Amino acid sequence: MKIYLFAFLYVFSINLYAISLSEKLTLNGFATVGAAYNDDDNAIYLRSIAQPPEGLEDDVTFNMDSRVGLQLNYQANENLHAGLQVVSKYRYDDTYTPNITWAYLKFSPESDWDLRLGRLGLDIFFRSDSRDIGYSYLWVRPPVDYYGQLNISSFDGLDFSHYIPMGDGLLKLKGFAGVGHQKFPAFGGNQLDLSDSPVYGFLAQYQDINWTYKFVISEQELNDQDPTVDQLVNFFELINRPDYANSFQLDGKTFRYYSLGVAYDKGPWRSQFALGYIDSENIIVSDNKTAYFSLGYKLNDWTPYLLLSASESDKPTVTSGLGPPTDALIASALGGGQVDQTTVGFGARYDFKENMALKFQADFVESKTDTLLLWGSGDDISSWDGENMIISVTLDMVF
Amino acid sequence: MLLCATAQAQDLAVVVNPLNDVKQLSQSEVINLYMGRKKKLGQNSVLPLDLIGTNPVKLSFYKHLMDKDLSEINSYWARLIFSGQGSPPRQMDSIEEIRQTIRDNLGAIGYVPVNEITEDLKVVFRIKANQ
Repeated sequence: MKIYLFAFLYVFSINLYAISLSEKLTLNGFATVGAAYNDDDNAIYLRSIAQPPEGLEDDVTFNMDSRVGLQLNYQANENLHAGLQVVSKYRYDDTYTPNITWAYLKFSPESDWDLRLGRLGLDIFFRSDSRDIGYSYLWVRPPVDYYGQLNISSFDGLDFSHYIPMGDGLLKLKGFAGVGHQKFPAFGGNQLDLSDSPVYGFLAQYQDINWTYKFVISEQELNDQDPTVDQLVNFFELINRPDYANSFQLDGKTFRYYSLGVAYDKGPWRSQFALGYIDSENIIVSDNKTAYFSLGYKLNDWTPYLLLSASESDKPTVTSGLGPPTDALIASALGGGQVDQTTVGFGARYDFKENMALKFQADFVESKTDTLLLWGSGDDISSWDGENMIISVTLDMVF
Repeated sequence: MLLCATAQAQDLAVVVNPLNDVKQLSQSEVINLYMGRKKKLGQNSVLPLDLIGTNPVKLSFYKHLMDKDLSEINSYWARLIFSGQGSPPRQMDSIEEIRQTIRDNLGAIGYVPVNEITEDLKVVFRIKANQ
C-alpha cells in the first residue's frame, strides 16, 4: 500500500495537465486515497450498491473511496478522437480488478455534432458520469443518498450530442442507448449480471457563465434474476399469489430514472441542487425519490462546505394471507431493497497544489433501521439505532 | 518577487490571428471559448491557448476574467476530461509559443500581457488586472 502511495505521489507531482506521449496521444490520470471511519459497527456504511460490505466493515476503511484511473486520448484529426479509460476501485467481487470504463471512438462531423461509439460513461443522474473523479467535486464522495443507488456507471453502445448556442451559453442535447456490462452485489452474497440489460435515455443541459441546468430521463431493463428473488417468486406461486410473484420478479422489469440538477458556480461560490426519482416496475427495488443540496465558499486555498441529502423509497405492504410472522419476514426482505435516510455533512476542501486537494468531511446519517439498501450487516444489525457518524479524509489528484 | 508582482499587475489582452473575421469579443464569449462552451471563433473552429503550469500571467488571466483560482479551473476540466466531454485549452510553454501558434492557426485564441502585443496579433478583448 505504502509503495503504491509513493508511486502515486510521484506521478502526480509531475506538474502537467496531461502527459503528451506524442503529438496526438495524451495520457491523463486521477487518483483518490481515502480513509473513512464509521462510529457504529452494527451497520456497514456503503458508498454505493456497487460495493460489497465485506471489505468495508473495519472501523477505518480505505476501500470505500480509494481509486485510481488512467486515460488515453488519441486525436486522429479534427473529426476523429479515440478514448480509453481504465479504473481500479473496490468492486462487487471484493477485489480491485481494473475495469475498462470507457473505450470509444468519437466522430465529430461538425463542431456542433458528436457521435460516440463503444463503451461510454452513463449520464443517468445529474453528475453520475464523473462520480469517480474526486478532484472534480468539493466533497470526499458524491452524496451517497443520491448517487448510491445507481447500479452501473458505464454501458456499451452509442450516444450522439448536438450543441446549440443560446444566449450567453450552450444547450446540449444528447441521446444514448446500449447495454450494461457490469455485475453488482445482490442479496445474500449473490451477484446480478447486467451485461445484457438495455439502457437508454435522453438529456438536455444548458450551461452559461454561472449556471448549469440538466435534465435526464432514462430507462434500464433488468435481464437477470437473483436466486434469492427466485425463491420468493416460487413461494408466491406456491401460495397462489401470481400478482405478487410477478411484482417480485426482477428479470424483464424496467427502471425509469428522472434527474434534474442545477449548479451555480460564481467566483468563490459553488453550489449544487439535484432531484432524482426512480420509477420501478419491481417491488424489491421500489420507487424512490432523492435530493441533495450543497454549498461551498472558497477562502484562499480552503473551501468549507455544507452537504444535505435525503432519499426515501416507497414501502409497499405485502399481505400473503399466511399470517403476520410470514408478512414480517417478507417486509424485512423488502427492506433490503429500500432506502429511507437523511444526511447532514460538513467538510472542507484544501487546494494545496493546483492538481491536488485534501478533504475532510463529517457526515451525520440518520436511517430507518429496516431500510438497508445502502447498508451492510455489521456486528449486530438488530441492535443498530440507525444513527451513524462517518468521518472521512481523502487526498485527490489529477494529471 | 518584484517580477511576479509586475506580471500580476499587468493588464492582459485576448488576441487572435489578424486574418480572423472576429473584431471584438465580450467577456462572456471569452469565458465560453476558454471553458469549452463555444466552439467557433468567427468562421473557424476555435483553438484556445493557455500557459502551462502556474505561470503568473495564467493565474492573473483566470482571476481577472472570471474570479477563479487555477485549482477551480483544473477541477472543472477534470470533470469534463474524465467524463469524455472535452479537452482543456492547449498548454503552451511561453508567450512566444502562443504568438507563434496564433500566427499559424486562424482559429487560435490566446492571451498576452499588454506590453507583449505585436502587429501579428489582433486584440479582441482587454482584461484589467487591478479590478
